[in-house]
Amino acid sequence: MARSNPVAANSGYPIVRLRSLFSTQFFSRVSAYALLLSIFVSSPSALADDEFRISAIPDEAPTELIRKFEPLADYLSEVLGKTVSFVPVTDYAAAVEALVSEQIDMAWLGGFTYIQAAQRSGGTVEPIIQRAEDERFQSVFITQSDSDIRTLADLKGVDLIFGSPSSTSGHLMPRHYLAQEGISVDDDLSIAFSGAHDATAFAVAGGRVDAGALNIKVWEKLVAEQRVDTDKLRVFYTTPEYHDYNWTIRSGLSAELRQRLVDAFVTLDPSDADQKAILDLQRASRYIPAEAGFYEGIKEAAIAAELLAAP
Amino acid sequence: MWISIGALLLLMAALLGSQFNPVLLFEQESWRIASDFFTTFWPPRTDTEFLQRLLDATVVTVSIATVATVMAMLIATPIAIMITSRLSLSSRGRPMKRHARLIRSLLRAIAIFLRSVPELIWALLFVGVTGLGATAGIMGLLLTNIGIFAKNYAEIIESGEATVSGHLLDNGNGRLKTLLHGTLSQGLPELLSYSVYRWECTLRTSVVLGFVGAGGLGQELVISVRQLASPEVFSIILVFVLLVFAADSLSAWLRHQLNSVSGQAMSTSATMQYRSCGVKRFYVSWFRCYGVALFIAVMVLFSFVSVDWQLHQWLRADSLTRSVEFVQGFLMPDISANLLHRLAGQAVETLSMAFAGTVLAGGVGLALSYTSFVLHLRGESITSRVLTSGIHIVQVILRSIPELVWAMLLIVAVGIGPFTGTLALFAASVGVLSRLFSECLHNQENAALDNLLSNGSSVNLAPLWSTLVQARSQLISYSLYRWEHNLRAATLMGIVGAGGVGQELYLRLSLFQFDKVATCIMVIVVMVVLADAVSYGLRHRFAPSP
Repeated sequence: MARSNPVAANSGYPIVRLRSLFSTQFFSRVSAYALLLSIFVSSPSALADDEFRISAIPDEAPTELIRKFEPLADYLSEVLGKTVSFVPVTDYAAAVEALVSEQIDMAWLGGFTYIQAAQRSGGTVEPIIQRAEDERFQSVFITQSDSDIRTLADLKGVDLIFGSPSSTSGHLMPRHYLAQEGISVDDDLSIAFSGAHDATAFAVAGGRVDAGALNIKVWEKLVAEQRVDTDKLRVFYTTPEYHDYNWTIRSGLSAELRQRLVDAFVTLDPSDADQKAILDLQRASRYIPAEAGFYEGIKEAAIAAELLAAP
Repeated sequence: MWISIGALLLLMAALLGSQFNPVLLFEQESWRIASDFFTTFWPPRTDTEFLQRLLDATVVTVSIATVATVMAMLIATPIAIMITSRLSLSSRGRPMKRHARLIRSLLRAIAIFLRSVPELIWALLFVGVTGLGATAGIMGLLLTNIGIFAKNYAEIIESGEATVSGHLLDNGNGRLKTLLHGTLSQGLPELLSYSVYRWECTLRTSVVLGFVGAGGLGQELVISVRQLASPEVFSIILVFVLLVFAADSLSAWLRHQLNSVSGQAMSTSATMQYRSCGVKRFYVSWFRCYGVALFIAVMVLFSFVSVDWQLHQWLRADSLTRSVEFVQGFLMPDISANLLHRLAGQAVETLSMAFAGTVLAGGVGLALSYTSFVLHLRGESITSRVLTSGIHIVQVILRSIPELVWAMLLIVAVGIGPFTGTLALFAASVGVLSRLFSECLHNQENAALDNLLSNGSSVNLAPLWSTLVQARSQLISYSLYRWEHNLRAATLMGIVGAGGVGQELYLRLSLFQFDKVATCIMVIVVMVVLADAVSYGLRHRFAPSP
């Protein structure tokens, strides 16, 4: 007993005070948990019924996306009779995750991201509508005007930049057509990802990489808006056509709501000034129904490129 | 001699490996894009709607950090108690049961693993389970913090006086009793003080988690940077610098309070102190103690209440299947030669970025701190005061913005690749190192310096042969710590496109290939653990603590 005396001497009031400090904290933690529990019990469900959330893969700069999608969200609000809000996300995978985990109701996905979402949701998400242009989509390969690159075969050993890893027209399909030319992206090239199509064009224009692959529609828009200098950049290869983008809905939406969504898109009328503005922003001539079967080619390309696990 | 040649060669290799190319900074195209972006910084966006959004984001960031810190403390405490050698019976020469030994090693390994995986990576994985939102961020911060707390709590317990707890154990007291009466009463102030410091670090990291969709200021920042909306970016960075400054001050104040309480506890016995300080002082410190406790309690409570717990996301049936999916990935990582080959290349890139960034920052940081030290010696003049505060402002700005945010901003000017990552590590490290170096130079004994000065040495050069020589082992030690830190940060650079293993990790996460993700994470863990060991070894070899 005598030996434990130093402790007794040490446990004067300052230590007692410290212990009460500790116990006050402890008490507050207990009450925090109690409060927390009561919040859990009363927390409302994830998605309010009167709200319909849409999102999109960020394949262009977000300002561009918000400019593109907000008029569409307003139009859908009117047609559906509920608030439609556009939820911006940070990357492609986030858009897929948000749709699969039902944090959003409908997403504008690329062909490959749709395939990913279908696989991750066990086939419960469904593509419902796409632009007429998406039936025949293409990618372009660009390089600096004064470079020696003329064909895909010239890409061996150079620095090539893609958009997002999950992009159909900015990664998967360019990779697929490179493979068909006998070029292995992993072994024959040094690659990087810019994150988005417009960023790809700017990276090549800035001379930081030798060549890039991007969505043909974004390229045409950048040229039309003179945001890239065609004296400095040129297209040296355009891919064959494939199916790309669509609007995909999450599982569990009613058949009636699904039909109303399809109708809302199909009936967009180019002779109505407001509706034409929406079509123009989406760079669409008109919308047509989409089917899961359209994307089988992309799925096979993704499996062949080992970007998707074989089922 | 050989060591410096070796270091120089290593630096050159690192510069090569990180594609170091300052010419890029002066390219016309870079300048055009960067100046478009940075010259429109002013004025920052300050309309009410935007500020309201920033306020909400700030609350999210602070709450995530606070909740994660408190939960990590609670979980790490029992782990620390179980792994510390201070309470171990075997350290008192008594036999240890086999299963106890096994459990202890297992817990130690878990703690090392948890803290070797950066928060951002945990958060990325949890985004895959619970979707976007605050809980992925909390889980990220929580897991890494558990590992860090467990290790440091155990170390703090071990750093205390050993005799008391040793005697208690020898006399047959139970370990719980020993813990409460011996170890804890001794180490509590330091444990709490460390926890507050850790909260501050967690807050800084919490901002970065927004990059992967965990909400808060980081998410606002990513979206604004991608939009190239410079006035917004500037507002967010301002808010962020202010927040870090506030957290820094609050943490310093809290730790001061704790230390003053513990200082009294250590110095004199209770009655002595009561007599010497007087009744009034006693009540003041009593009030302060409870005031601080109440303040912390309110903040913690507020954070727990304001966080969006996303319970519905956790309770969804497919959350479970998706957790199983990535656990499976970890059990069967992809070790194909192809992937390992690519990872090896990127690992070299990561090491190069960390090394080059740290060495360059060490050089510039030393120059800055030396200059401010000399200015201090020269005494008060307008020029020296302006220069000193100029250096001080640069330090504060550089170090309150995390590496990843620097990377994100620099990508606009320099483009993607490891060079950007190196510059980002360099920028943040110059801020941190020059401040630490300054403190270190100021804390040295002045005898040798005074001697030189009184014998007519120049003020500009005298500290070189006195103060700097005295401080060298501490300077090396700080630099090594920073290198360790930078290596961790460098593994993440690829997530925003700034080179290194983060690039492969981000690619595989985007493709939901968890077996490959697991391999990437293991490479990161191995690098971080090795760097810890190397840094520890070098610190003891070159910078023995005095």
